[in-house]
Amino acid sequence: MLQTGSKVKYAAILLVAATLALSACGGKPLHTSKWQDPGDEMEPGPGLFSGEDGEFVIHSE
Amino acid sequence: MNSLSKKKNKAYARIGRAGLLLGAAALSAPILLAQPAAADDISDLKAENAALKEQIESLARDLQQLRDAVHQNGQAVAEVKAAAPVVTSGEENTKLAISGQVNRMLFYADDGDQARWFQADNDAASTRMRFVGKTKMDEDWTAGTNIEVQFASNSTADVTIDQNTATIASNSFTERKLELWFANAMLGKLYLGQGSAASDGTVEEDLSGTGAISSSGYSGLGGSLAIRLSGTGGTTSGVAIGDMFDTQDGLGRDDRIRYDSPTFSGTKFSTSWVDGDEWDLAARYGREFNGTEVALAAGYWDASPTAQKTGYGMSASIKAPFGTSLSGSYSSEDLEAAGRDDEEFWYVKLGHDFDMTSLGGSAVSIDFSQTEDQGATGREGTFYSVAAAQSIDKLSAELYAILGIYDADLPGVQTEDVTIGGFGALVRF
Repeated sequence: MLQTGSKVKYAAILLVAATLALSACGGKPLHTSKWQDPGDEMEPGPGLFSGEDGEFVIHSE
Repeated sequence: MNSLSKKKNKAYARIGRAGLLLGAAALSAPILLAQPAAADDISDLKAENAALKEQIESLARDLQQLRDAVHQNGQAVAEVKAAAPVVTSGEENTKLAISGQVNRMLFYADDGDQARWFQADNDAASTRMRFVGKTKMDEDWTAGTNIEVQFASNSTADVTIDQNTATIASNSFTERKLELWFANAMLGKLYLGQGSAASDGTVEEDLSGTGAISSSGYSGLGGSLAIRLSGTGGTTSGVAIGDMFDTQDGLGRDDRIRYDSPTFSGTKFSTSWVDGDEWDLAARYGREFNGTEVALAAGYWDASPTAQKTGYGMSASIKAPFGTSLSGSYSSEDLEAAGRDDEEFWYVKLGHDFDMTSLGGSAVSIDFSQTEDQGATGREGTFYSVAAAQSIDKLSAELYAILGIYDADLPGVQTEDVTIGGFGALVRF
């Protein structure tokens, strides 16, 4: 049975290797809200009152 | 013609001319006789005409003044409409925006002894609002603030079968994010304040489209419900759903300093140092290949100083161009307490999203999950559910429904299943 430290080490190596391998595969960017945010985050999109942007911009320059 | 006839004709002609002369005289007589009086009337008429003319000119001037006033007012209104926002800033390249959502549902729970409907706030994506500020410092640097608070009245995570809603008085805003950040396109992003630790969400990658009600964080639906012992008339086991159905999703949200690397071909690394001397690491990957979406995440966390445990977790989700998705999560936490087995969690979900109506996208999913040794060695939990979500694009809303069952296996006792379900709506405003 592997100790926790070993598990973490191998998991980290596997993770870095997998992500680097996948990074080399090309493809197109995925919207950040689909893979960077926790599941209970507010998703981007239109708002009932705020319209297309989904936010009331009370100041913008 | 004879001479007699000619004489008659001449006589008739004379009579006719005389008649004409008489008629003319008769007609002109009154005029000639009335001439002095008509001259007075004309004079009066001229005076009256002059007065009317003056009045008309005065009215025309008034009308022109009114027209000018209306025109000026119109210009003023247009200028007001085009004027700068009421809220202004002394800085250029800045933005301040407000957004939020309301997520309410009718939530059903049956703990094997009692069943009840609740009017609740859906903990899967609670009611909240946020204020996001952002400023561009120069070509490379941006900075911002994020204040996000939730107001989950009668949250699905807090309801209990026996609760007396009349006595619930603790509803208030609770913190989600109170942070500021600095970002550089080449160097990454640095957060400071209350917000997601690096490992938060690494067990929650999910492309199914039913996330408004169904996710690996499912224990937010009925997390405080007590697990009852079988055949005891409702005696509680002393264990609640949330005690043994935990996603173990990293260090969650806390007061921290967090660093995110720039994204390299869809890959991003993060780390954070959390108040209490906890820390974590995470990696995420998101990319689309010919319409197939891929999302991966993994994290490691060390909460030894505060919770005497370390953990790691990972999740993956892949969604085909035709809408079918498969998601899976696994996490494990190593407790420092003697004799305690590692607490484990795993989750798998099959989903499909499609366009069934012109209202918006539709999605359905089924999921299955197991936990081991959470809260105490020897416990095992199983959860499964079916869920559906329907977007209403014109209302910026999502309607959803779920039916799920918690099956808790506690050492040495028999327990009742807990059934949960319900339906509701999430509206972004």
